[in-house]
Amino acid sequence: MTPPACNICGSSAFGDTYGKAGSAFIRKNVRCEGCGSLERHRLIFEVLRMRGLLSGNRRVLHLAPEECLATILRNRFGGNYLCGDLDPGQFSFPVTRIDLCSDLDRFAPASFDIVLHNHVLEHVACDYKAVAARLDGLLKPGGLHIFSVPFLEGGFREALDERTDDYRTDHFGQWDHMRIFSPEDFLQTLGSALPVPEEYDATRLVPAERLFAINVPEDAWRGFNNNSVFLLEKRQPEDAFAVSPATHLASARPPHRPDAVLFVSANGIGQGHLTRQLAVARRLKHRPAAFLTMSYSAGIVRDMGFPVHFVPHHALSGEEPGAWNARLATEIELLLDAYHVTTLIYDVNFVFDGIIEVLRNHAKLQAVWIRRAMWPSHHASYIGAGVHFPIIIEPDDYAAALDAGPTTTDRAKTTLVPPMLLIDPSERLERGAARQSLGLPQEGFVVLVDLSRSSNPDLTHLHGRLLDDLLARPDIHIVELKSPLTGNVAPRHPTRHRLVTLHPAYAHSRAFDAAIVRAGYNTFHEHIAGGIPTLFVPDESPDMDRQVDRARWAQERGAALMHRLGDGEAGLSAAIDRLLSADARAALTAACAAITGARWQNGADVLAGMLEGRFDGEDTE
Amino acid sequence: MSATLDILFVADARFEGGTSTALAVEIRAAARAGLRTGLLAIKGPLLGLPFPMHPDLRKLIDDGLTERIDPDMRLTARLTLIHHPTIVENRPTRRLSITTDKLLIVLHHPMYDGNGRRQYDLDRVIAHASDAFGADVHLAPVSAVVRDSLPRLLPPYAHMLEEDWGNLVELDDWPAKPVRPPAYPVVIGRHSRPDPLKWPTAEDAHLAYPADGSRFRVRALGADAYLAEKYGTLPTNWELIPFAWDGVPDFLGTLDFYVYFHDPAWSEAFGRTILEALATGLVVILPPHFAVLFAKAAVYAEPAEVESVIARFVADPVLYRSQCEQARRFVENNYDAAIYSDRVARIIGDETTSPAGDGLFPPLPQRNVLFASSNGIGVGHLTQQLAIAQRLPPDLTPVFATMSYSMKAAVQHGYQAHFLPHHRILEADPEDWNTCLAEELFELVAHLRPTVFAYDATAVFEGVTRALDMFPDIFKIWVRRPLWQESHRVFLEFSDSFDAVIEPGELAETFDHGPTAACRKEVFLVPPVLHLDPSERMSRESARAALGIPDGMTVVAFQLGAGANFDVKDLRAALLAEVLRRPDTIALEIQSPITPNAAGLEILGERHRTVELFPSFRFSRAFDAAISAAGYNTFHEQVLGSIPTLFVPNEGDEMDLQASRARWAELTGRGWMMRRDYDLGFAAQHVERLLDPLERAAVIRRCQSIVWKNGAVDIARYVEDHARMLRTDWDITKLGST
Repeated sequence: MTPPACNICGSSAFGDTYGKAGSAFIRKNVRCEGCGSLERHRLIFEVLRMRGLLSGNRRVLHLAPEECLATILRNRFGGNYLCGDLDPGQFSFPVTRIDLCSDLDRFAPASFDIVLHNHVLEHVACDYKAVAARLDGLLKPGGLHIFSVPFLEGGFREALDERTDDYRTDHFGQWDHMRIFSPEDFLQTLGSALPVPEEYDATRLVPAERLFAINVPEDAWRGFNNNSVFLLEKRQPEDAFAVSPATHLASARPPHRPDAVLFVSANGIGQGHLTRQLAVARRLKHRPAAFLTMSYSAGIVRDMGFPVHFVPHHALSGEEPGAWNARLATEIELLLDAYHVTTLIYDVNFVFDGIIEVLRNHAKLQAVWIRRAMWPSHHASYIGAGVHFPIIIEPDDYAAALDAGPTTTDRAKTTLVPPMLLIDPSERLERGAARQSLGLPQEGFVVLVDLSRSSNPDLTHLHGRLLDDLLARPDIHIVELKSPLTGNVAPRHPTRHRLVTLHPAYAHSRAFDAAIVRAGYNTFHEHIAGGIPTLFVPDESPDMDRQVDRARWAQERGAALMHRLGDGEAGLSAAIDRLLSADARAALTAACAAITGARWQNGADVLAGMLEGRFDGEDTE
Repeated sequence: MSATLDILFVADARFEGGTSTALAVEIRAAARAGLRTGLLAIKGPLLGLPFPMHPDLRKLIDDGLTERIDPDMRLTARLTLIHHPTIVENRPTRRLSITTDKLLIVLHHPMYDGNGRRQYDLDRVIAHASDAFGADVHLAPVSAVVRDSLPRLLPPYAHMLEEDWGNLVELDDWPAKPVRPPAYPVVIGRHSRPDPLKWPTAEDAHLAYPADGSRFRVRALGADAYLAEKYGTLPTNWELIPFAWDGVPDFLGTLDFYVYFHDPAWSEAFGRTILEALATGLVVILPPHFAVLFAKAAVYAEPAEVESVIARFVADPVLYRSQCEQARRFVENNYDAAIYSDRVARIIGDETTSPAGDGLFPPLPQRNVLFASSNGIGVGHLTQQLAIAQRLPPDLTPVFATMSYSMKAAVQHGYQAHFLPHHRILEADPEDWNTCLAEELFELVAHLRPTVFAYDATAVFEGVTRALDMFPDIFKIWVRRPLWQESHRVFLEFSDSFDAVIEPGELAETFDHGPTAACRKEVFLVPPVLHLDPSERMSRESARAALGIPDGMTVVAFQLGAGANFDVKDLRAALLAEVLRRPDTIALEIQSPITPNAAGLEILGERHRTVELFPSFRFSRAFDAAISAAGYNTFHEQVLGSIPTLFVPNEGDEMDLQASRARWAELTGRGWMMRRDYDLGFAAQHVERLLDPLERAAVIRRCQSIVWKNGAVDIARYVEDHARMLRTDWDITKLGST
C-alpha cells in the first residue's frame, strides 16, 4: 500500500505539530515536512480540488494565509487572490494588512467567491460573531465560506480585556487567544452567527479512503475538533432551486485536457431528449460537449456546433439486441476516450444494457440521468436502472401535480431542477424581426401549427382537418414546422400556408399570435414560459409521455386551451374560435405569466452550473 | 476590413529555447480555451544568425491554432502580449495598424545579468511598445527574480502586473517518469540550449558532475564541442547529446538526478528546463539562489555538496520517492497550462469567445518576393529559385530578375521575369555596368516593394549590394551553394550585405574544404534542394511513351552541358559511340532551353536522339542510365532520383568543384566518375560498367539508402516566415545619420 502523502506538495514525510511541550494542540506525525500543511489544509485542498474550485475566475480572500495554500491560490488566481493578516511582517511573502475588527468595511459585500480562514476567529480582539457575519457577507451568492477554529472542552470562554499570557494559555489554550470554542456549545456560540452544521463528519466532504491517503487521521473525522473544516455555501436569496454544488458533480481535477461531457440519447423520430441536452450543452462555458444519439435529428446538434455521433437503434439496424448493446458500449467507450469524457449524461427513460455496461466498466465516470417525470405507467419497470446513476436530475414539469406516473415514487435521490429549455424566453427575437426573418407580413394573424412528425394516424387526420378549418377563415396565416424528415408536403394555400424548417423554432415564436401544438415536454414549457396563447392537442399514443396531463393542467389554470382527439369536429372548431379571440388570448398570456412568475430560471442553466462546479451567482443568471 | 483577435502574441519566434517553448504552451492553451489568437513575428536584435522560426510555433500556425499576422494588417486585439522585452528595444521599422485594449510585455529576463550588465533598456522598451501599439504598457515579469531586478519607478504610462507571468507546462507532454529507487552508478543529467554560459566554472563543473564513472554517469543534452572549449578535456563518464528540438521528455526519463549549475555571469530568470525536470518527477539539485523560485520542489546545494546530497537519496528510497512526487506536484499545482485561460480572463474579462466569431479571418495581404540570380549559360541558380518559388504559399508572389539565358523557364512557370544582362555579353565596362545594374535594380525594387529579396549566385555584384543598401528593411537572403573554388573567396565578404545566408546541403559535403566550409555555423543549413521531388516524376511507362521509346530498349540519357566553358566534344563522341555500339540502346541527348546550336549536333543514326526537356528530371524514370555533368542540380537529381550515372565533371574555371561531387559518387558507390583529361581512353570500360545490370542495381540500392527531404521546402518556409516579420533588429532612428 502506498504510504499516506501530502496531497498539496506530494511529500510523504510527516512530523509533529509545532508548539510548546504539553500544549493541548500538539499532534504527532501530521505536519507535512514538504509544505508544512496540517490535516485541515490537506482536507481543504482536497475539497477545492475535487470540486474543481482551483480554476475559473474566482475572487478569494485568505486570512492568516498558510503558505502551503497561499502559494497555490496565488498562482491560480493571480490578482483575484487576496491574502491578509493583522501582522503581515511575519510572512515571507506579500500579505496585506487587514484588521478584522475595523477593516472589513473596505470590501464590497458579496464580492468574493471564497473566504478562507483557519484558526483566526479565536484571535480576533472584538466581537467575533460580528466579524464572522461580516466575513460571510463578503461572499457572493453560491460562494463558499471555509474555516476552522480550535476547540477545548469545558464550554466557550473569552476575555477581551488585558490578561497575562499565562492566563490565556491556561484558559484559552494559547497565549494569544482571546477566546476558545467548545464542542458542547458551538452551535449556540459561533453557530448563532453562521449556519454551521449540527454535526461534523469529514467523510461527507471526502471519502474515507482519501482521508487516509492524505494523512487526515481518523480522530479528526467526526465531531467538532481543531481540524473540522466548515464549508458554508452562501445561499442564493429566495432561490427555490438552489442546488447544492455537490462534490460528486464537479470535475475531479483541474484538467489538462478539459473534461468533456458526453450526452447520450435515444429517440428516433422525436427531438425532445436531444433538445433538452442541447439546452445544457450550449450553456457549458468551460467544458466541451459531445453527443451520441439515435435520433434522426442528429443534424440539429451538428448545426449548433457540437460533435455528434449517430447510432441507429437496433430496431432500425436489424441487429440482434445483445450484439447491438455491445456495439453501443464500444462506441461510447471510443467517445469517452476521444473527447476525454468525465461525465456521461443520459436522457432516455429506458436504460440500455450497453449503457449499464459502460457505467460498470468506468467507475470514475460521473453518470447523470436526466429523467423527466410524467412517465406512462407501463414504463414502471425501467425505474430500477436508476441504481446505475449516482445522480438523477429531474427537470421539473409544471404539470407535475397531476403526475401519477412511476417516477413519483422514486424521488428520494433525484435532484429537481426547473424546466429545461433550449432557448430562454428572453433570448427570442422581437416580433417584428422574427416575422421578417420568416417572411411573414408584419400585420396579419399568424398561427403556428406543429402537429406533424407524429406516428399517430388519428393525429395526422386531425391535422388535415385543422388546416382546412383555419384556412377557411380569412386573413389567417399558418406557419407549420416541418422537420427534414417530413418530406415534401405541398402547402394548402399559396400565400397563407407556409411550411418551414426551423431549429430552434422557439427563437422565432414572438412572430406568432397563437399556436396549435402537441404538449410534449419542451414545447409545453416553452409555450407556457413564453406566454404564447396555445391550443394543445396532446398526442395520446401509448408510448408518449403523458401529454394529456400537461394540457389538462394548463387548461385548468386558464393558461392554455386543450383539444383531445376524442372531442369531435365541433369541439375543434369551437376551440379554434376561442384561440382566435383577442380577449381569450390576453387571458391565456396573463395566466402563463402568473405560472412562471417574475423570476424565470432555466433548469438547463442550473445543471450546466452544477456540471462546471460554478458557485458565483452571475454565472447562473 | 478589421479583424478581431482575443490575443495578439508579438514575439521573436526564432528563439531556440524556453522563451519560444513557453510561448507555444500559451498559444496552445489559449486555443484550447476557445480564444482567437494571432502571432506577429518580430525579427529582434538578439539573434543575428539566420535562425528559422521555432518548429513548435510554426506548427501552431500550420495547425491553425493561431493566425499568422502580417505587420500591415488592420487588427483589433483585446490583449497584445509582447514576449521578451528586447524585441522592442529598437523601434519597429514599420507603422502598425493594430489597436489593442490591453498591452502587456512579458519580461522573460532580469534587467541585469550575473555580472551586473544591463540586458535591456526598460525605458526604451516601454516607450517603443507604447508608441507602436498606442496603449499603456503593463509589465509582466516571469518570476520574482525578474520582478526584483526592475526599477521601482516607472513612467506614468507603465504599470506593473501584480502576478508573475510564470512559464507554464503542458503536463501531458511531460509524463512523470516511473519511480525507481536510484542505485550506483546513478545517472545525473541536465539539458539546456547549447551555450557555455549555461554551464558553471570548470572547478564547479567537476564537483557538480563528478568524473567518478563507477558511481556517476553524466548525461547532458544540448552539449557539444563548446564544452571542451570551456573545460578542456572532458571526463569519459560524460555523455554529450547535441541539442535537439524534440525527445527531451524521453531524455529526462532516463535520469535519476537533475543537476543544474550555470556560469556566474548568467542570470537565470526562471529556468524552464528546471521546470521540465520537475514535471518529469526528478530529484532536482540546484544552487541555493533558485530556492525563491522552486521552494521545496528541488534540493539546494553548493557544487561541492552534490555528491553527498545524492548519497543521501540513494540511501533512502522513501525520501527519493517523496522528493520526486513533490517535484511533479509543484508543477501541477503552480505551472499547469490549464490555468492559462484564467490568467488571461483576469486581464481581458471572462468573455472567452471572440466577439466577431462570425466571419473568416481576413487573408494575409499579397506580397512580392524578388528572386535575383546570375549565370548566363547555366540554368542552375534559376532552377533552384524555381524550386523555392513553387513551394511558396499563394499569398506570396514570386518575381524573377535574372542574368540567365534560361529566363524562359521562369516565364513558362507563369512568373513575371526581368532580364539583367551580364556585362560580358554587353562588353560593358564593369564599373559602368554595376552603376546601371544598381539603378535598374533600384527601380525594380521600388516598383515591386518586395518583402523578401532572395539572391542566388556565387558572385555578388556591387550593383546588387548598392541597390539593396537603399532598402534596409527588405529581408535579404543569399542562397549560396557550397563546394566553392578557392578563387571565389572574395565574395564571402558580401555575406554582411544580406540578412541571412542559406546553404543548400551537398551530398559531397565531406569533400568540401572551400571558402564556405568554415562559415557553416553562421548560415542556415538545409538539406539538398531539388526542383522536383523524385516522387513527382512521371511513371516509367508514361515517360517512355511520351519520349517514344520502344519496349526493350536501354535508354542512356546524355546531359553533358553546353560545353561553352569546358569542351567535352571528344569525350562525348567516344561515349556516344560506345553506347550506340550495342544493338539495344538509345542515346538520348537532353538539351536545355539554352543549348546554343542544337542544329550543329551531328546525329549518329536513329538510336541517337536529341530532345529538349525542361525539367528533364520529370522524365527520368524512362532512363536506364545516364552520362551527365556534376553540376549541383543534375548531380543531386541523378543520385536522389536513383539513376545510375556516369558523372563527367565540368572542370571549368568558373564552376564549383564538380570533380569533388563525382568523386564522392564514385567512392560511395552512388555513381561513377570519368574525367575528360584523364580518362578519355577508357570510354569502353566506363560504358561497359554503366550498362552492366548488376552494377546498376548496386548503385540504385546505395542511392536509395540516402535519407533526404527536400531543402526547397525549408527555404520556402523560411521565406514565408520572414516575409511577414516585423523588424526591430536595426535601429531605424539612426538611419541616414551615419
